[in-house]
Amino acid sequence: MAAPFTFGAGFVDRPLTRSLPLGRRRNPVQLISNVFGGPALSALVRKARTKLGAGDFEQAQRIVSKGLETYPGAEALLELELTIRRAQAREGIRSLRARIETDDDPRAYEQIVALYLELGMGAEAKQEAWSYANAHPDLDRPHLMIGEMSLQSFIDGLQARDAHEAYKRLQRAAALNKEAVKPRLLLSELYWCVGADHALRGMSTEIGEFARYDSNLEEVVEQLRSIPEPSGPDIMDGLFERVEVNGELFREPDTWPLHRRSTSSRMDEDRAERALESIIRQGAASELVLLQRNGTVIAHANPGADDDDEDEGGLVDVARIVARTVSRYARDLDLGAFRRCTIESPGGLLAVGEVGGVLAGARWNRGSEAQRLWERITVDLEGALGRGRR
Amino acid sequence: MKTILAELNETISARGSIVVMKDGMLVASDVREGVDADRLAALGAAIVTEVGLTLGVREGKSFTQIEIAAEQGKVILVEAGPTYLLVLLGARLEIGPGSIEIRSAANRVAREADLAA
Repeated sequence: MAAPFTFGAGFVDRPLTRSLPLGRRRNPVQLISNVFGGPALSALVRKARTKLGAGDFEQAQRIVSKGLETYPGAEALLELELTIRRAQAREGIRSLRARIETDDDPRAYEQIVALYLELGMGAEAKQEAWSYANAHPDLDRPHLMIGEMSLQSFIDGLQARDAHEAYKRLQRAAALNKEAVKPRLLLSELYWCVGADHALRGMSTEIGEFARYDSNLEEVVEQLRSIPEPSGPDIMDGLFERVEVNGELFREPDTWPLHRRSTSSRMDEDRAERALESIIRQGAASELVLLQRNGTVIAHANPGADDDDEDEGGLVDVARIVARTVSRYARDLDLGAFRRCTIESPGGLLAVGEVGGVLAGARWNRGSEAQRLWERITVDLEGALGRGRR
Repeated sequence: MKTILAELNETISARGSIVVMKDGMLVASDVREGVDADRLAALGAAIVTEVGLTLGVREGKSFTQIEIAAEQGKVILVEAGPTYLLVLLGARLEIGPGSIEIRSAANRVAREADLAA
């Protein structure tokens, strides 16, 4: 195969064969413009980094935005954009902390938590919410924040301890603020997911009071009232444990009438998708998927598949089975926490395992030594997601 | 078939091994004290039926071998003619599906299963 054509040393940043994101077509006009005019990608990145180093975030962001118009989807620019946003957030957090030190302003805690969440730094957000709760234990907001984050962790990871935390905090938030509907809705979502139908029916009366002033809540109340009367009260501990042992929720969260999806999770998904595509381009695997322990797909990259391919019987299905079945039996047989499952079939190799707190699945069309291939993938994934083992 | 499993467990210090049909039905088992044979059989059936069927939808053929690694040990499944041989190993054993002992036992199981069929 002929070597890619480039215009000498001064144009090395603009080869005609510069890699583009998967699934995007080359625009010939753009290509010519890139070769004969406009700043090189590396020059843009260098310039933006200099501005970032000098603390001029606004200018750095402007250069990156302009660069993305010329080089849409360029990984170096997208990564730099994230770095700038993180730096901006760190700066914002520093000034908010100063505010807390001078007047212990509760709103400053809330803004810090929001900044961390926007950046997808869930652990830091939770830690900050705890500091908030310790500083202001009689306010409902910090308990609500911890409760909401713990509920999300429970839905994603199916760990009973997260459900306990969510339950405790949301109940406290509801008790501290009798006028607040949000802790009651989140508690109802928790009850919905674990099958605490007795508690759910009780909640319908409380939420019904709020629905008199908010018609959006009528659907929730209707749904709660349609649940058949259970024979006895719920034993929360048992219901939470049942979810962890079964490896699945009693009801899926997307069937809850007010199902929500956070900004931070959307940001994580975009970032994860790009990371998977990049790893596949480097030839480290043919297909990759990242899933929550409950089977929800975070990101999936399969360049060989058609857009309308349902992936029946493919990597996503196998990864879900491993998440649901194999990890549970591993615990039953005193094998401890599940680490990895490698499968060899006439069609190639598949592997599913834990990477940075989520489940990852990989497929190779050919090859052997699944363990070695998997180890390489996990290093790439942890590096790309910035979620190294802790 | 039980003799093959007992010999394999002895040779590689496995915690137990079983043979299951491709529809998940248990054929033979030999497990050490403390290992729940029913749970091991349930794991074998779950893998063989669920993973096997899922892969079969796309590729028309099921898997040839599976290795499940956990903190305190691992489970290996290898194709043995019309059946699968499942081996439960402890944490410190560096044995994979390609080990000579497991391959040899799988070949013997396959021969016996073919004769029985």
